[in-house]
Amino acid sequence: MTSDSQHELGDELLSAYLDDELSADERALVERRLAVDADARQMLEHLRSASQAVRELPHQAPDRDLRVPVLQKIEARPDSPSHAAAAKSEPMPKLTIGRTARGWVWASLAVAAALLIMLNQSDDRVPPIGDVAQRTSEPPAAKETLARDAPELRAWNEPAAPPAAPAVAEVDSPAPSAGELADMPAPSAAVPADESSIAPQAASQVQLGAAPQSDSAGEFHEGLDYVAASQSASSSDESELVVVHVLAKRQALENKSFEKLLESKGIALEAETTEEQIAPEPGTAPPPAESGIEQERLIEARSLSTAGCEAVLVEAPPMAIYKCMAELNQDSNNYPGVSVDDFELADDVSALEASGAKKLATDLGKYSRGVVPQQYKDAFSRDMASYYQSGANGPDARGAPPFGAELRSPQKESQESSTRRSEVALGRARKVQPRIVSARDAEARSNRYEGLAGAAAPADALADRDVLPQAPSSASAESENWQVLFLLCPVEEAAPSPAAANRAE
Amino acid sequence: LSDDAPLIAATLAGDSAAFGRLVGLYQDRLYNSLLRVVGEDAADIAQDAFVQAYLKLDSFRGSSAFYTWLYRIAFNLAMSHARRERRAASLDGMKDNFGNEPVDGQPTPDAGLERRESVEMVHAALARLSTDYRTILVLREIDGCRYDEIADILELPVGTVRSRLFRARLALRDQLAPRLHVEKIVDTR
Repeated sequence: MTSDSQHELGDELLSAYLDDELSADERALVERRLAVDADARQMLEHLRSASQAVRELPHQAPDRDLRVPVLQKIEARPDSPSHAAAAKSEPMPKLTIGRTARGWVWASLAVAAALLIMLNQSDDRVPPIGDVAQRTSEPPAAKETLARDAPELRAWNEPAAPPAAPAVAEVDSPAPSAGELADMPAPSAAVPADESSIAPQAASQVQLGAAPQSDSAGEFHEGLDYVAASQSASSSDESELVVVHVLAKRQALENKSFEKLLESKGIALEAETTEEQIAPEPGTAPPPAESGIEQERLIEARSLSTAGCEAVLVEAPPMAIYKCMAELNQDSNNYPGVSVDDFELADDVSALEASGAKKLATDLGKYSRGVVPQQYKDAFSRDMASYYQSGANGPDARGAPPFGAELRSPQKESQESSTRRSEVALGRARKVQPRIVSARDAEARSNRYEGLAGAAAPADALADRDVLPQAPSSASAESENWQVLFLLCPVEEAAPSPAAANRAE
Repeated sequence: LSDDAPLIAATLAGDSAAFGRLVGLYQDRLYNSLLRVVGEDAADIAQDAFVQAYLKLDSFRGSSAFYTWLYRIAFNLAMSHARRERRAASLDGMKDNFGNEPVDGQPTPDAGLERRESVEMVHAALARLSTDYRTILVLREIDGCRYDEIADILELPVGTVRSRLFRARLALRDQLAPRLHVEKIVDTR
């Protein structure tokens, strides 16, 4: 290297030094030079002056609002996505759920799905879990009390990256037409949406009152595997959770419409897990932790799959999740109902008013459409989420389904840099066996969180969750992914009855 | 990403009004940056960039911020524009917007006038630089982009970003030397 090029490289380092873009070694080198070299100090000052001159240029806004010409142009283009979306949706028959008797027939043929969205966070607090039987039988008032009194429920819902768009709400934009809004619930809280979109809870209640009643819900609930929790409370990640329920037509499941939907969003479906992988029998499960409080127990072991249910766990960036949600929302032909279940948030909205969790649920809630029976929502409680979350947290999560471990296998980590993964592998999905757990015992096993178990924990222990130790935050690209569990559970001709649902308790 | 994602998804689902909101969010910032790169054509370039972004939105994978992606489109258009026009950021055009370049940098009693002259001089100095230099200076100094973000937008190695930014600053310093009262360093090395 010549002397000139060395000098230039040295001065280039000065420029990067201004921008704080040097490695520690480079920075040390520059600072040593600055300490002894007056020319270097002068050069640094010149570079800083030039930089400052540009920074001080006043901000100027365009003299016209670009939204108008931009929207005019894109609307005029035949190849615009809005035209494509309209063309795609036009051939689909309009769903009449809630409006006509035939709509209720469609509803009775529908399939419930639960979609668990877990925003991986980097700290180490244990997710709140409790006894599933108790939770499914809790009256709303009890749930509300639990949510308000248990700080972990709120802490758990603090998102790593709330996708709400507060800035959007402040934008004064042209009001979309009523037709546009009716077709697609807007994702921003600032945008009005039709009643069925913004009030899935209310719609569900309407349906429950009007839909044909049968025992099919009993089959549905009894089909759940109430697997004693082997969940590790010492799992390394905390997840954000939102549950989304989807009503789907049986034909859509048979046609693998959902798998195709995932694939269209760049989410590849991996091999299906086996029964053994998902939930080892108690005898084969790893031994309890040192505390050895209780052996995990099998509460009930009837798979949802006996009812024709499927479960698909997805790991993908938020954008892919949004795209999936948008398509689910649009595809009323295959999915008559979509409901984001903010089962914790709805119970204590005031406490979460300022948190990102509410915004997250609000954003995803905009994709709600149609009706989903309340008992489906009750069935897929946080207990289930905890179970899958546990499994997603790595191979050390005892007895948890290995799906997450597969997605996060160290081998894959080493083979694929986080950068490459984020650019190439948008998301992955895998079929798993749908099960539900009571994590009470497993949680009690944990030394770290001993006494903090959901339903079994004393009231004062719940408060301790506020001071749970937290792991160092991780900046891995993995943490930017969401984990999504789709549970697809067909029911037969009639919609389930709440009474039947209660039998699952 | 988190703020934009719902709007992007809604747009992809056919809600063009949602895209209008994205335009509303970013038009000022994008215009302001393009103004320093292509001058009076900034609004047209920004408008074209938004239309292009809309048409390509399905290819946006969310691995980078929407704004970074939008900027890549916009600055590609700006570069193409510069190549076509050869005088994309013509001084004439900029003078139309900002008045005549001051003959000298002598201070005046009027602080407002002095400020205006200073702005005009810096803007004119930028206009004398190559489009590459203007672009990288704008991304760093006006938009505050990190080197890796600039590399992403301009599709350059980070090392190239660092060296180009240094040279751009040197070039601007030379242009501004009279105003900044700095003596141009004669490189005797």
